[in-house]
Amino acid sequence: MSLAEDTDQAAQLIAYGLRPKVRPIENPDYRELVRRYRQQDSFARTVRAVASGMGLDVLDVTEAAGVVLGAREGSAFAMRMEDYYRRTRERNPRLRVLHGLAQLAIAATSFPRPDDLEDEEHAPRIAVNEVDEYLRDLCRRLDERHAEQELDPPAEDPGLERSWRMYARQPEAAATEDRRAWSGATRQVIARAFVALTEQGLMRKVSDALGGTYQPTPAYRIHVRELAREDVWFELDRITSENGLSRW
Amino acid sequence: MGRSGANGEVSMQLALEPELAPYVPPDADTAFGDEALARRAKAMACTVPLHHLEANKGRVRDGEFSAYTVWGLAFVAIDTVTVQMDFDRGAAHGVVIEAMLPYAGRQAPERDHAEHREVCKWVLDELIGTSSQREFTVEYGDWNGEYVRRSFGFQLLVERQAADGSVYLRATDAAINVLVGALDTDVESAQAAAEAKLENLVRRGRLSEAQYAALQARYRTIQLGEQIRQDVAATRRNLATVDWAGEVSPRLDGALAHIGERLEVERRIAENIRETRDRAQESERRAQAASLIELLEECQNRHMILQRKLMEARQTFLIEQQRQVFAPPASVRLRDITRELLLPVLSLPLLDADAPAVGFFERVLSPRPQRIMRLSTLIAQLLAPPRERAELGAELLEPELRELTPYEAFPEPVREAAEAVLAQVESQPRRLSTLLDAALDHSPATAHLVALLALHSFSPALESQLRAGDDAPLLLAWSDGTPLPPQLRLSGGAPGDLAVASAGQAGPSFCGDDLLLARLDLAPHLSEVRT
Repeated sequence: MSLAEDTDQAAQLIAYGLRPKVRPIENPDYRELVRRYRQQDSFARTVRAVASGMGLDVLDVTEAAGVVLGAREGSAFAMRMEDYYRRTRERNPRLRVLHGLAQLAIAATSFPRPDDLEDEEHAPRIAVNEVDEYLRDLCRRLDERHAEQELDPPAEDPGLERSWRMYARQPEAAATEDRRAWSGATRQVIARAFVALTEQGLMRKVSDALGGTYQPTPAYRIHVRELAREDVWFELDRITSENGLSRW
Repeated sequence: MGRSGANGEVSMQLALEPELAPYVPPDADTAFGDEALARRAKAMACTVPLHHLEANKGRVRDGEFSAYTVWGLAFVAIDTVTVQMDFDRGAAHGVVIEAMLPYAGRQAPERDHAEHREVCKWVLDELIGTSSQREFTVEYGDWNGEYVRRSFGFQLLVERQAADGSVYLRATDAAINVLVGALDTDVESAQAAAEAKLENLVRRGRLSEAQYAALQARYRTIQLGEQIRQDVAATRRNLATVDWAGEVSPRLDGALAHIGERLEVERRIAENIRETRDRAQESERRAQAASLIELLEECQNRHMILQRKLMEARQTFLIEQQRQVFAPPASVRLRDITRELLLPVLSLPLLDADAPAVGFFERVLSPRPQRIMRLSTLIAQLLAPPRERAELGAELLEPELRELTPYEAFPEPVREAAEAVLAQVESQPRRLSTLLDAALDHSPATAHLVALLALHSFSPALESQLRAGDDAPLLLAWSDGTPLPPQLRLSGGAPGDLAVASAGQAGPSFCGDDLLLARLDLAPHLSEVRT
């Protein structure tokens, strides 16, 4: 096969990866490209090179998940929170932290132990209400752990409020005057996080039980495994130790 | 306060104006480093929403609510929610309002029921904080070390969602603390103190205060039960986040020992009170003692429930340990998402948590390709006929279509006749029985339909119709308790409802109330209001 043909096929595989709802099991061409990636090192190198040129990392290629891509910072494919939720553009970090915590908690609930991230068959059913309860429980634990400390932020500096205290005070559910659910309620935020994941082919809705019950797809496990790598969050470790917080 | 007041006033003035008091040099460590200053300020902050209610009642509804002592209503609301909180539920809004209504009624018997309901709803909404983003914020001074003004955010009643999607209320620890008055105390020692107080009171025969102390003890037990429920739920989710050996297990031990003690103490108190009751002369005191015994029995029930939960907690731990701990380890070093990502982010101040929280969000949801438009293809696409989606595989089978005739329970002539009968009803109320008689002249089916339409007009959704801008005259049906005449009531039915018995060969038979029907035409009045 010529270089041009190889590159064309490599780009095709990446194009499939950019359409996360298409799965190899339903598409013979895609399946064939996945097989080739896994068997032929030179093709795999070409695919990674093309991806790299587009600002993408190939996180993994499997029969079940297809090609799972991660966007590098600043790439044309990187998503911005403020494009997704316009209101997070404001100066106050409260809403941004809330949406970020929802995603983190969904990942934590889906994969309670690091080993679960390596287990291809691990696909638990998790629900909106469970994720919220999980977060609230962690907040309560943090409250207990810091019982001796002064945690109220200075009146002129609300940004020094600890994240968990902000979360704990956000209502889990609230009915507005016209009986619609209030968008600031934590279960609304988590429900929207699940919807975003579903749109990206990372979750599958199972039922409406418990505020919406979902099951992670194989691609979600690969994404979260990548994000759980030790080296990804050194910056977080640094801020944590700067704030004088001990590790758990 | 005037300077030329009586002696008492002068001494108060001295205390209020430090420059007039004898100078005492402050000791930085003991005078300012007192944590209790901040703690008491925060405890008092929890009562601020109640003061706020009382202060603002004159400003809502043109001062109509001034007739009520609204903080009394607020206490009833918090009590109701707290008592309804068992191990996992709280109280629905409706339940709380029903509990408050009799109190509002006593406070202003001359006002009507609708207003009682409104004031209760207003108080409940304010306790939830619907007008303040469901959160109260009070500033206080922190004297620990340097003086810092801090803002203390808290809630009293929070809305939570049940498995069936309904929203119910729970009281926060802050609210329970305000309620029982023990604002900054350790759960178990406060309970021990309450016990001692109760026994003391009973010995001296001061029963109403004894009752108060027993209530206090009960709230404490509810709090303890809630803590243990949360421990169990956390264990089920992830054992790694729960410190069993260091934290939970001692708490369970403490709670078990404590329940054993409580059961014994309460049994003893109940014995004492029974004796007091038997010896007491005044009937009022006897009644008081009896209700205290009832309360103690309820406390004992709660202890039993707590005891059962405690037993289950240990069982849960053993099962979860089997499931979660004894599993093969991961091959590469991956973080534990809860302990090494989520908890650190939760612990950080909002400003520092911003970047990692947004980072995780954006990375887990990437890549998100942008659609790129190309004019030539766009025009072609707009002009093209709808694309057949061949990639979906198998060819579609031609569906077998059958002609459907709509099913009609009542044929056209019957519908027209029934409409004609109901058209007789105008603003003057008419009896259903006369309408049915008229309809029976046409056919039994007509009478059947008239009866159904009358039922349909029973309590129509008038408000939603008007809000939707539909001001057509509306048929209203209501009951004054008169039963249908016996010639229509051929077969028996439950009194109070209207039922159409199965249409036999002899035609339908009706039983239930002889409803009154009238037509309500608001249109002329509405146009007056709108112009």
